[in-house]
Amino acid sequence: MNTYQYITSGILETYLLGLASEEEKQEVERLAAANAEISAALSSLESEIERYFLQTAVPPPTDIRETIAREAQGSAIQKRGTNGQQRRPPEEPKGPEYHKVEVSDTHIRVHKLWRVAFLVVFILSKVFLALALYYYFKSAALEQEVIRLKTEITQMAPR
Amino acid sequence: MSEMKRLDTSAPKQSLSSNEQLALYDRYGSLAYGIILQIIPQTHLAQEVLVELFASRYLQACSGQTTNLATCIVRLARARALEAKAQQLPLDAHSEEPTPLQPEDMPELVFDLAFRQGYAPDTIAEQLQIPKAEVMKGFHDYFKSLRQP
Repeated sequence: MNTYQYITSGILETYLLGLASEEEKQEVERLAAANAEISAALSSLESEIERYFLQTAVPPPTDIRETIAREAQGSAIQKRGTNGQQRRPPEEPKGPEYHKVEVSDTHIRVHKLWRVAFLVVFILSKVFLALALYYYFKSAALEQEVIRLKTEITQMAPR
Repeated sequence: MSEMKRLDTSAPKQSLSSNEQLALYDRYGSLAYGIILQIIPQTHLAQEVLVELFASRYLQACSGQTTNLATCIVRLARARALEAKAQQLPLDAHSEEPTPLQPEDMPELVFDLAFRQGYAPDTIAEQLQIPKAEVMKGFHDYFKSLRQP
């Protein structure tokens, strides 16, 4: 199998997605280290996979972040305790561990593109407002001019 | 990229601080949640898996990897979601039968069976009665089809 056939065989995709067997993983890593073309294809595919999954990304509820912060902090404290040779009483076997996830919040998360969209709409609204004011005053001035000219014509007309 | 650099320069088995875990969540939380929801549509369960992924030490596995951080998180999110799905929904794991194969649908079907449903390429080949090489090619064709406008 030549390099092109290897790259297009699908083995690189399965390797990156974690679907390859241990033997296949080792083979890909060995060949990528030895072959610049395979290594480049692997890097390019990584970016492609990241792009693909970013398209399918879903923003989690905002409270999840707080839960993760709390849990991560808790495990860090627990780890420090273990490193400091602190003796703890043996924990009783527990049932399945559940994470408390709050879903009632007053905030919404939207895609970051909305920020750009909002700015564009805001700027456009200002531009249109300025144009509206400009043409309003211009038309008012022209109207005054028309009235003045009409008055002049009326005065100049023979009686 | 800063999180990635930090991870790359650190020792492979060095544990992440809670701030680093949060930084990774800020960067890749949406990506991971999207993947988990593809595998577990139940939001409460998906959120539990997401919390478990970013609050636990699973992410340390990425520090010694040769692939980039995003790809590693894709793999971890999938693995954790499939594990949780197997624990919580044991019946569903075996109730889905592969649908009859249409040649044009094969890459999508192969990707779905392998990535979202957790079938090994060998099992897919066996169930679809096609050579394993064809299943593997399906992955390549799937990502190739995404490149085309």
